Amino acid sequence: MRIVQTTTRRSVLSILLSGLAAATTLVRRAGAGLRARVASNGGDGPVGAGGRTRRWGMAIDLDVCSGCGACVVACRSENNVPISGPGDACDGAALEWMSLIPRHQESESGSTLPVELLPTPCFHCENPPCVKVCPVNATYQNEEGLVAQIWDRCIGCRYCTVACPYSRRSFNWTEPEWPETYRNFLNPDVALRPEGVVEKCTFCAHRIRRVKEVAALEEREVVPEELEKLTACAEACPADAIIFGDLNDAASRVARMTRSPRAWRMHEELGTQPKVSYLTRDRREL
Amino acid sequence: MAPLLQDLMPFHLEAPIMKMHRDQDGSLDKGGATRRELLRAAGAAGFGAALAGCGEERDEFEPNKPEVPGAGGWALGEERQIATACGQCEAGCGVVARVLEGRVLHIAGNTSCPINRGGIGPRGLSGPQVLYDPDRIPGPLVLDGPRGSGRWRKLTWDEGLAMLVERLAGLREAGTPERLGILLGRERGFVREFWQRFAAAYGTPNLIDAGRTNDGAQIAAMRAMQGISELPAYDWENTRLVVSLGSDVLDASCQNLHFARLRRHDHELGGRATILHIGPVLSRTAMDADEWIQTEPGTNAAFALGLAHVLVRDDLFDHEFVATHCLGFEPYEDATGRKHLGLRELLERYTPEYVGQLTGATPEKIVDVARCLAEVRPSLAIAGSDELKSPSGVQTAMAVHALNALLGAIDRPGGLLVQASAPLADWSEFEPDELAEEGLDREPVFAGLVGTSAVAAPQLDLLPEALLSGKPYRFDTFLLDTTNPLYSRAGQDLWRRALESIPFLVSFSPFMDETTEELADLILPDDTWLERMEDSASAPSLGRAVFGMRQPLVERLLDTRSTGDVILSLASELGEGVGEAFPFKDFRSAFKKRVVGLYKAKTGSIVESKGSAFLKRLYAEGFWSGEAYEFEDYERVLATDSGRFEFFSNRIWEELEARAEAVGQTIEEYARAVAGVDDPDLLCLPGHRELPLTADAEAFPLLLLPYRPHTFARGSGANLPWLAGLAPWHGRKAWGTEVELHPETAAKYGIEHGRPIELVSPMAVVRASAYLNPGIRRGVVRAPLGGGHRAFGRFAKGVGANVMELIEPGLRDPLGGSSVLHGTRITIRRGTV
Repeated sequence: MRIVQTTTRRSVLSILLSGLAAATTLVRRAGAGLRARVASNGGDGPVGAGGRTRRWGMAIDLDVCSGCGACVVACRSENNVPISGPGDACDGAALEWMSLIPRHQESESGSTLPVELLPTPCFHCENPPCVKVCPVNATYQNEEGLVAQIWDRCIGCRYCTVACPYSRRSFNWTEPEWPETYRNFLNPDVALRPEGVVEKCTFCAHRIRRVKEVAALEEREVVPEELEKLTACAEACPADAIIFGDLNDAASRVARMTRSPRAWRMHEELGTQPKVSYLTRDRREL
Repeated sequence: MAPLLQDLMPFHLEAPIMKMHRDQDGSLDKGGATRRELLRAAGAAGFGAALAGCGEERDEFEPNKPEVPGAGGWALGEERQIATACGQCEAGCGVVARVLEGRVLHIAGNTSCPINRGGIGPRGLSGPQVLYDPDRIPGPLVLDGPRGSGRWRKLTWDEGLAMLVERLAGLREAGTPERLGILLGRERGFVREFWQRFAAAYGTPNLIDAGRTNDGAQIAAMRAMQGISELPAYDWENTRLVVSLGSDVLDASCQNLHFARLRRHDHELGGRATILHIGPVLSRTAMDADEWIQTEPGTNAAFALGLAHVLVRDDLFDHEFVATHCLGFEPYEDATGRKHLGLRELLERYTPEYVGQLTGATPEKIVDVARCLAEVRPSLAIAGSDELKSPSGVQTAMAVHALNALLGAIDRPGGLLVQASAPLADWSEFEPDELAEEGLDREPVFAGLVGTSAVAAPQLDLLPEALLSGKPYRFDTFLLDTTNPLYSRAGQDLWRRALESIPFLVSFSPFMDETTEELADLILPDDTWLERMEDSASAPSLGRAVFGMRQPLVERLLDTRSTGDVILSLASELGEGVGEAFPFKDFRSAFKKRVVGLYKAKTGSIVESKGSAFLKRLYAEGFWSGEAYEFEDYERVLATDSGRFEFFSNRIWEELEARAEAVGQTIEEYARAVAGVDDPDLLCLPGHRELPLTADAEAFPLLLLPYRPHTFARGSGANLPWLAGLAPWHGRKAWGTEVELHPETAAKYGIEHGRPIELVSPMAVVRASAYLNPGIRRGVVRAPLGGGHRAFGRFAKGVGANVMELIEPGLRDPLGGSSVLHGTRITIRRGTV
């Protein structure tokens, strides 16, 4: 396996450039005063309304989810997840950040019956096993609870992939390829991952950043309503089953859903403390 | 690990120069800025020289986007959110496309559109892959070798159009315009109406509907009982109980999205609707339901009639509605004095015990469900689309429809509605010229086949037979728009021979589908829905009138032209007689002429005093929606001659009479001949008939249940890898065809889970892989349609198997006329790897 050189001449140059770019724009557009204000009202920082640290989380209501797969496609489209062809899918090498995983139930005859589909993004565990095993600190937990990954730093050892009890990490076995014309719809907000790198759901971190920046520019706080459908999967869901938000904001919809008596988290017994809750189905008797 | 850059650049979104995004952790997103932008950024900062050394070097992580037409008109980093109507399925959801520098990046639901309220299905999200399909047809092509050779020569549009015009003008000069056939897959909308207008002005009676076959049975039932030739709409937002009688609403239906929302809405009101599914297999709809009652295949009508029996027996039906708005509940005499059977009498034999025997459900359960339907109001019964493609499909849909009438659910809150139409203006009237009149008076292609179907207009599936018979005349030219019969219809050999017999075939498909690649002589490729201007042509949804508009999101990528404009060019080139019917500058101005009606109506979501302001808002918002639905408008929704809901359909009776007369039989003889029914009354009422199965039961003991997975429909999404990579259901293996069967059935044939399996019918052998699922009735094999393309681009070709090949084309619904999907017997055996 080829290990990707993580720091290239180009990336050093780009860092330099972006610093310059940012600096010029700061001078041009903002001035020093605004920057201080942004820092004080949250802006790009981890502090949300009322001075609490944000804790990003998600709730998925299986009672309304119909398993249509819109979340899966929306995620692929938003995050430039490489297309997996039939070969990859058969080899189990398909890359997917959001998957539909079937849950089975014992039927009367003893065989198992698929009964529902669980949309499964990365759970962004409070106690993430993947972070502990990374030898190069490519994956880490940030101040807002996101389990983040620095693509450039990943050496492709795949310890994290093995450590994740939910199989929410995929590995780029080959350089991702798109037909020439497909490159038109790649999202410039999200970096492409090269061969030899592990990738996973980021809770659409680029959208989180954008919403904070817009709020900062408008000199207001981020309101919970603009967070509920923030991620691409939540935005697309036709049934409104996926709700995103700040778990530390007790009044937010996601926090309320997480407190529901129907809420559960996958393999809680492992102590990973996932920040994605499922709301169990509420079957009605006739 | 505080990112170093985070403190430096918090505003990079606003200015193009700051399009360079960091990843969540602060590492640089090199995908964010192209080399060109980096260079500019550097130039701006006065460091251009520093970069000169590596300017030509390509960054491996850089998107490296190809040039697109029109990109020059966009500022660097300019982004627009454009509202439009999705064109991926008939639902026609309002969507908002994110367009950056002239490229469509992402599609999201339009939160203000009443059809989808911000939600969007996987098909709609795949829009960018339609536009940027690498195997699109680049421009007009003419065959440069024998058919199917794949040798094409590029043409300019002028040459392509001239070639077709010469052909069409020749037919008119010879006085035989009827030798032009138009095979049209569009079910609704302005372009469809354009074709109809063209056919009338040109003078051909042979505009053949290839689109309405999917939901044909349900439309036929609506027409028979309510006099409405359209699918029903449902008041999903207010209903409390939905009983699905074999409906595959979450698989194939355009109501998919509304059904998914069913629960969300009621959640907001404090409680959601309960869903009960009845059917032979654990489909997605069954899985989604609160309760699933497994029944024998092909017994949905019996189940519905059993429920109706209990409603009548226990006096639980809506007396007021039945007395004032229905006809045929009691026996009645028609105008000629003939006595007809009433529904009450018909229902007598469908006791819970008898229905229990037929369906496999317990009598107690049937009584239970009927009582729930009566007690939990408003309640609703729905029928499916694939399940209705059985030999008694129309009567099954009628049975479910009758159940709704007994519940008083017709046009009431939480019930079954008739979509209100938007107040569009009409195009000006025109008179076909003498030549066209003559052509229109000639017998249409199906004329020789009267007597093969009882009620419906002869359907698409009869076309090959008609063409091969050479009667009433031989065709010269066929135009194929939005249809791919060489892949999607049963009996492909027959179709191939029939279409091969036509000297000149023209395809308007933007993709190299099977029919286009194997048989077309000339291709005049349409734009994709992301490049053209038209109406959304939505199927009925929630009742309230919605007009969705589709607009070009980007400049057209290739040398294609919207078919609406092509029709216009054809008409004006043909000149006298035909051109007058199209007094429009282009399709856009024809579109505007209709939309004026919405503006003049001064009602609904957009009301403006100035026309220009109205149009501006329509472009910006992407749709117009009417006022809230008006319930109990029975004059509108009961459009039968009697003005009532007809349990006994007079329309079917009259059709039977007319057809019997045409073939010189009595109505009794005719009913016996086409449907094997002794009493013709039984064809005019809802009814259950056993599946007449094809092939002999010993050699082919299993029943095939094909279905349309929600991602593919009938194969139209197979060229989009995002959809192909989404397993049809259950999150199972994607890319490929997996057929489901019960573990015991599999064990009998030595078939193992996940292993290759061969399905054998008298028509073909199809190779797939097996998925053992105890949720499938024993003796049944459930198989998804949409795989096994022979063409249609690199992502579709050769992936999976085409289950349609197994189906025998001969078996038809006597009332609906189309070939049936359900009713084919097969056998299975172990496949080889």
